[in-house]
Amino acid sequence: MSESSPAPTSTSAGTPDTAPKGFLARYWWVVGLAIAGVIAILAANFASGDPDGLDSVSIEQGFHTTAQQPGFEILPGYTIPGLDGTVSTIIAGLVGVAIVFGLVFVLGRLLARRRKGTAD
Amino acid sequence: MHAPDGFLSLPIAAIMWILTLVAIGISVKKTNETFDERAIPLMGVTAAFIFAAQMFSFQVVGGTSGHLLGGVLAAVLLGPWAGTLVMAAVIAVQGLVFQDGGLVVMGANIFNMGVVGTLGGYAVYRALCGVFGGEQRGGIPAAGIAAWLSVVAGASAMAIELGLSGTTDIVVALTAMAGIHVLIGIGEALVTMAALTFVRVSRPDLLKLRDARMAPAAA
Repeated sequence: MSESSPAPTSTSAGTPDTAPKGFLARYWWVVGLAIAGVIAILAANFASGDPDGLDSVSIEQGFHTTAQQPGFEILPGYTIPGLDGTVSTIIAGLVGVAIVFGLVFVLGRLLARRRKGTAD
Repeated sequence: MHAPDGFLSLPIAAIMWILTLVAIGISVKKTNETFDERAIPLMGVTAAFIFAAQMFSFQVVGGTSGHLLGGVLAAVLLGPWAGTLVMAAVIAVQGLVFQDGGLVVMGANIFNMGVVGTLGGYAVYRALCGVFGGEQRGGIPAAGIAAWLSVVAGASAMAIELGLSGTTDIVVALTAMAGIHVLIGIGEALVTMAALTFVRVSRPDLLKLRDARMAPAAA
């Protein structure tokens, strides 16, 4: 068995734990985004294709026929138009992860309070 | 649980849009007043995670699947206001870009899958934290229970909207929607607790940002 942790920075003697140390801590959001990307890829491969709770109930009770087609389509049903199979859903999913992250990041930037006394 | 257009009558869809826009308006104001900019990356990652996790439908019972909603998770990580904005952004992108959920009924979808969890679920979470002896000690199980409840409540809200729209019988819809989402909510609870545990173990400091209140900036 090889050692499991690659020499953690153990300078915790008097340092407050609020300042994160190490790669995982510093680039936590990159890791988080990568996890989201991996989940999207796994979803494209392994997600259940069965109708979800609402869709199931709508079929059971017969009101699924009231569903209207969307007025326009961009990446309908998490697929890239013209591209078939799992790879289509993988790309669409990764595009979605990027769009959602970017949109919310910008939203946060616009709304969040600047910390006083911080240059940039 | 993304309703397509046509499932709800126009008056019900309009009422749900109004409720959702009021919640978003308050959330924008509160986020602007209190949100710590150090939490912006966490806000983006939370939104990306919820979007990806919602793609991952899991089998529940024969022929029916479920997926994460994420409202309680977003609210526990970011607070109810920023959490509401995250859920609104995810559901808006799903509807506009991926044609998952209609545009006329988007107000209802944001309400059922987002606001019910971020505002209602979060209130339940805080109450349960009190019962369980504080957030540090009881936060994870409190979030699990609140997450489960938010799915059942969101599905029930959907059923009531369907009933009031005249799409289907309200009692039949409530029974069926609550019944299946009692099971789907277990997945919500497990994913919510796992994600919170991951943040707690890897970056506990991020969880303190939610309640960080800064001195008002000089006008």
